[in-house]
Amino acid sequence: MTSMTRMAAVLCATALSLGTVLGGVQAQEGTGSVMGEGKELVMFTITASNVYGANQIKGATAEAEKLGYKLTVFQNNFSQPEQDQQVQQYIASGAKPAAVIFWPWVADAAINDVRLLSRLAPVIQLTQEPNEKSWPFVQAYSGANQILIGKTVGEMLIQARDAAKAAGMEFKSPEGNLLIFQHPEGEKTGTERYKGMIEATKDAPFNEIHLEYGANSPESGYEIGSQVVPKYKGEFDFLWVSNQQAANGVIRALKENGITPGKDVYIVSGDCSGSLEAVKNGETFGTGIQPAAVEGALAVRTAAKFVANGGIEGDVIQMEVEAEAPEIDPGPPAKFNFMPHAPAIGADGVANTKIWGYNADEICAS
Amino acid sequence: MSEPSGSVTAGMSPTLQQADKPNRPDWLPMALVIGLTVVAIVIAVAVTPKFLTVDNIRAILRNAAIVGIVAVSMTPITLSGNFVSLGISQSAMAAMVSFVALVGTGMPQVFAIVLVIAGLVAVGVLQGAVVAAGLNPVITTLAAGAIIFGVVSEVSGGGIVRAGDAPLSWGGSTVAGIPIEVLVFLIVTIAVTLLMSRTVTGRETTLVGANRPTAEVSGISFTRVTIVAFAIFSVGLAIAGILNGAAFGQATAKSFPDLTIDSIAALLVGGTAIAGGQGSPLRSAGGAILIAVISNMMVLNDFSTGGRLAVQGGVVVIVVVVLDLMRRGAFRR
Repeated sequence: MTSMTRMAAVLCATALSLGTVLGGVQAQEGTGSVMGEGKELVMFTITASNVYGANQIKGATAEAEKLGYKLTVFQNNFSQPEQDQQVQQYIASGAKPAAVIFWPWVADAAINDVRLLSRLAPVIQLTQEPNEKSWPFVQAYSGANQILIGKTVGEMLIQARDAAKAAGMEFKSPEGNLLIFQHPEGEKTGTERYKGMIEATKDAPFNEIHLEYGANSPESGYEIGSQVVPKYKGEFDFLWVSNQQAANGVIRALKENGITPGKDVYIVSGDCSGSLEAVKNGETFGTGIQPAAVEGALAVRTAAKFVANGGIEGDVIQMEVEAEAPEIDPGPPAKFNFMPHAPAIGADGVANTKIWGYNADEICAS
Repeated sequence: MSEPSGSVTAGMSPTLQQADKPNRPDWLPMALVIGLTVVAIVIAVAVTPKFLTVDNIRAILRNAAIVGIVAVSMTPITLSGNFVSLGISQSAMAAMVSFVALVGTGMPQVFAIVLVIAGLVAVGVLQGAVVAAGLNPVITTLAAGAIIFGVVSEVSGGGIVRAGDAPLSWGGSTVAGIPIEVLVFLIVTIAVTLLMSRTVTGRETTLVGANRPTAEVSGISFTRVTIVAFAIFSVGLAIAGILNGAAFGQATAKSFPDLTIDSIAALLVGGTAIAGGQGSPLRSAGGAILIAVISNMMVLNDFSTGGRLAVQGGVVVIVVVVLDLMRRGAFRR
């Protein structure tokens, strides 16, 4: 081999390697079956010490077992560096999974993880939608439809306004004044949900008097609520809180300021993560039932469908709310595979909600 | 060799007196904290409508209370030269989860409170003994925090622990218009301040932090001082966990996510020297209130989350630097 030929071979090999590195796993042959037959799926997600993470892992594990896949789960304690380390170690172990299910904790900081994982197997991103930098390495998204969750919030707020009007409540403005306690600033979850809420209420908008960021736990909900509520006391009729955990903190702040939730003010929470007591006793008008276990199960199904078909088809599959889990559709997944999401208003709404075999209490607070 | 006791005071009086009389006026750091708090309040009143309302002042004190209780009770650890604990969030969370779980089983609340305090003190004493044996306090508390978090996570399965139908509403109640956690904060501050300033144990703690070799020559046991400091701290952590458990009626392994950083910030802003020997629980309480005032002012003036964190961090840095410069100046004199 002449030096020129050797040089050409090296250049070709380098170009091929770069192509693989930059582009990740390209279209591949499908196995033709959604059954795993003992193959491995690997999942990178948040810690099971969080109720949402625990339920998500539970759902994914049960679905993987049903489909004959071996599911390996790596949990991070809400830490991108920890997740980076897990990805590096997993890759170094020489494992060859059939697909990767990946929830990046900090999407922008996890791009290198997605890139590295995409060289190993097709990546299905979970819970947090890929951004333009990560899409080249991700085959499909599976998880919550934040716009839909926001729309559900908007619809529940409209129903809350009707209920308040029927109960004889006098609003501080003709549309009703709305105070919002949102997720931490910059979180895509919050911004997408906000877009959905605005879309759902565009024909019957509320008078938004303030949006406060940073409420995502009982403690942060209380910390912020106890300061913002006195400032706007007597000026708001409706509250939208990011999730029910944070709503529980805000409810404590309202009560301490002499405001009775469900009477002086109507509260809607974006999702039920945390507990349902306040929805059952009427302190929270309604909440979104976001089934983490179903999200985990759907991610495994999306991965299995991708492995079976070797690619995606279409842009969106929105799963409908069904009491029992439907049979897996053996066709290819879409680019966006959204889990079902349902509103629950009052104790009846909680009692009547069942998604994929899980009741509302199991979904939200177990 | 016999352990020194509180009665062995005659021989060590001169040294203790030295520890009691630092090289600069002791009121200077406290004056700095009070001065900064007054400045913050004046600015807040000028730029924030509704700042001086009863509801808002109550909110500030409520937000300072839990952090304040922990910062005040951690001060003996720092004063004794054992830096700070990095397992604060996890220990307080364990107290909160345990209290709610015990009450949820139907146990009378008084028994649950006693059990939780006893359990936390046992864990704290164990950490104190390990630190006294020579292990780095930061690493020891960090490791203890990880173990506690891991155990609670496994036992609770990541789920929410509830008190069930137990009447826990006293957690959000008031006495003569004063929130219960604020009253407890006041009581804890007075108790720990008196303990540190008016008892032999307190003075020994300060001396060990100021000059350990001298203290040991004077017959003061570093082991005993460290264990007592960790025990006091554990009582504070248990109280914080119980108060929050009573207020929310439920708990998870992720409760108290920011308590470690917030408490350390309050302690440092209060002017307690991280290396030990200088400071007081009263100043830590002042630090907690100062941070709560600044935080409240920023929330009410719509500062972004990033802006709030940056300003809070900036205040900690400024106060610590100013106090350090004051200390250096005092030593030069």
